[in-house]
Amino acid sequence: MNPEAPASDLQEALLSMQDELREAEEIFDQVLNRPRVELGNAIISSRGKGNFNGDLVIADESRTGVQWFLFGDFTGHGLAAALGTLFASQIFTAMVAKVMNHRTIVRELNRKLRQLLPTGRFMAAAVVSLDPCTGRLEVWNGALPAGFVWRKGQGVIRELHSRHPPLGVVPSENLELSTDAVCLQPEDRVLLMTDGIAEALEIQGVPAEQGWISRTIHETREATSLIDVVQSQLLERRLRRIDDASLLEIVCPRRRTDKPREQPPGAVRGVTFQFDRPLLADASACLGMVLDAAERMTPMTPCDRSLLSSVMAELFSNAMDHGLLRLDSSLKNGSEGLARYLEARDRSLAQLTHGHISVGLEWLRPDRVRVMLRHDGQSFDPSKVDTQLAGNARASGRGLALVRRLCEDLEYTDHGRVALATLRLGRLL
Amino acid sequence: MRTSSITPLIDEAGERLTVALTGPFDFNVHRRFKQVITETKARFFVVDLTGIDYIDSAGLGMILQLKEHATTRGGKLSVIALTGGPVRHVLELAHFDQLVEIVEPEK
Repeated sequence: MNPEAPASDLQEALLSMQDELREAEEIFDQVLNRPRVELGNAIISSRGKGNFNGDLVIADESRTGVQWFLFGDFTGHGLAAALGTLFASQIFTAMVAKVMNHRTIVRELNRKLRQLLPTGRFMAAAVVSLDPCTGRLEVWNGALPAGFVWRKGQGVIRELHSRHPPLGVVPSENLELSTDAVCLQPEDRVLLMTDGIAEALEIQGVPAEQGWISRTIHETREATSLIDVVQSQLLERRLRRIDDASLLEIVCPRRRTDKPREQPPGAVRGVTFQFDRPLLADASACLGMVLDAAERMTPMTPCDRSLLSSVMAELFSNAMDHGLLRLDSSLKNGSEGLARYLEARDRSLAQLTHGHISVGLEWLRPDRVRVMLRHDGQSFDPSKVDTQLAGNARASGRGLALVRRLCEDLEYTDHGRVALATLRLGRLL
Repeated sequence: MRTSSITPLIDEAGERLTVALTGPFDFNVHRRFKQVITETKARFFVVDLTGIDYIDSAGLGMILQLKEHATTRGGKLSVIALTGGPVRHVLELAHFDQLVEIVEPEK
């Protein structure tokens, strides 16, 4: 900026910077301060928008139905803190999507934040998981004030103390990964908070007495929301918040009553069949057996069965053709390609002496099912399969794209030998 | 799971062939499907998918082949699939509604 610029230019530059800042704040707010999924049982009270305050609340749900929360605050304010929240949120959601366990998620968050953040920047955080089916709550608390598990009529039944340093401080190999686990009953509430609340000041500038918030929650026996209790105390005591202050309240949902069937502990929720020759050659017979057996456990609509069959047939063909028979899809090209391909397939199948395909179907939740296809043939790289749906008028390269569109999630492991596809049922009537 | 079947029905003029399928519409059907469409002199084709259990990408591939076959003969292909049903859903996910005419079954 020219030091001799007229005041109107300075004013204009200032307004322009303020506009940019506002826009940046709105973007961060969109990315960070909105739950990735609407978890109806989580209540979040954040200090509010803007100012890049470094608070972070991410709510997510894994495909196995477990709810995950990353809650905490970064040291400092401004852009550096805001960028930290972006990193943390990306890392966290990526790991939840991969259905990682608690320890792995904490270790990876710590490792990446330590690597990315400048010295002196870190994140006081809690990593929380709640399985709504079983009520199991697991909390890793690193440098946040103690949280509370509260039960109606009884008050606080457990405190969730910090047992660890903040994320991003110590090397991951030195980080203690132990968690607190509690079995919640429906309607139990979990309250977590960042520093600002505990450090609230009285209006006159005198700090509130130590532990006021803990006493308040401990004295509460009846409440419809613990956040409301804290906030009304702030008003009553004429306290104001300092620093960044956010609250997260999680209510343990009622056990789902629409479970397909109550299973005793350890009971199977799915079926797995292993197919060898000669049955292996008849894909629809194999799939029919799996589906019939699965339907004995949990009935499904004809629509769901049809969509599941499409997915299973596709994955079965891939396992058979590329895994066991080692056929090349490019054989399908040209006007007689498909016929040529099927002849090659018949020949290979006749020569196949060993090899098997396992097909599994497992209910993760009443409306979610996981299909597992495993073969013991040649590995293949699914990312290299040229697969396209839109505008694809060719004879091949449509199958996996179709599966991806029909499924919530598709992943390959064991060098392409195992396919795991998760489908949501009941979307078509 | 049922075995696939194909029932061809030609109109009096020999111009229009309706192919009704049941069971899975997958690669196992291919030889019979190809035989049915090459043995006829029809130019207009209707593939009735209302009776199938499911369709996979091989089934989709056969629909494309038949469309090409019909177009070469100066004719047309339409597919019968119930709106809101799983087969229609797969056809729409694959954008086949932009490639061929999809019609409702007659009541």
